[in-house]
Amino acid sequence: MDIKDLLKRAAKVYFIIATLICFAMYIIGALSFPEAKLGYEAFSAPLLYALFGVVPVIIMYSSKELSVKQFIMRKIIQLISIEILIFVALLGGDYLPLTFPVAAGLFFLVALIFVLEHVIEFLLDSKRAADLTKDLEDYQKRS
Amino acid sequence: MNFRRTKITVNEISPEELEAITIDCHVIDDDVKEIVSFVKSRQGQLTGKLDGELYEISVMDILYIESVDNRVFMYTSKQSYETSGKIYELEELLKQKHFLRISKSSIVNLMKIKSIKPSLNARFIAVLSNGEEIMISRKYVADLKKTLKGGQ
Repeated sequence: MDIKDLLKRAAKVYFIIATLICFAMYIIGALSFPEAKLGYEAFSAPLLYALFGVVPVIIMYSSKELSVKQFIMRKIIQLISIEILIFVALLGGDYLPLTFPVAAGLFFLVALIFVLEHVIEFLLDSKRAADLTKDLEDYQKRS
Repeated sequence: MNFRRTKITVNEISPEELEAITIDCHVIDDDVKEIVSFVKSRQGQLTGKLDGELYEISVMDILYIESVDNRVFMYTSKQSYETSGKIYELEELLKQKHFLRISKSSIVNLMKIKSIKPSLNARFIAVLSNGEEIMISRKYVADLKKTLKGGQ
């Protein structure tokens, strides 16, 4: 993946993660804190945390093509980096009490968003591959 | 640097006569072999080596061409043949014969791809007519799409 592809991918990943964080905030907020009133700054949270989620995409940068094994290894490192960034930002800033249920819930939530982002990306790639196959069939008929 | 001093003669002949190219040379070296290879590829054939023997392979039978450790191999559904050509030379040579670069090290015969599917490592996979799968780098996907849509 070259640097141009990486930046394009980072932009796509950023918006997917921001949407997923909005969705997670809605579900968790509605279930756990239904009475809470939030200010306008709440709108900035998904945008900011999506940034934490997308910065480790840099780990995927390689001038060479990665093998599947290298790709999986880097994805694991990427997930760990995101977990650390989110924990430092949320718990370090005293936004949440550092209790085991909160930490465990946060860990699984970040992992879930990470997995969902990849599922969405894979689905988008599947659609693109299906379009390419259709174009290929048309090309072969024309030639 | 030594340059060949070669006389080039092109004669127009009547449609009834058979077209022919003759090379008169002192030694059949790499330059001459390259010219022969180019002419053959224009006719839809490439020369490949298998177990020390040279074979004429129809371009239409080639599934893909890949560079491995500075050696270039042409793959048909049954065999793989080594060629003396460079991957970028073959890419240029075979552009008009439905071949396209899909990664840094390989060019594929578009007529031999059965389908395209996504890969786990953020790339795409071309499934060939013999069931073999080869990687398409993301970098070349835009070119692939453009070619399939009729662009060059």
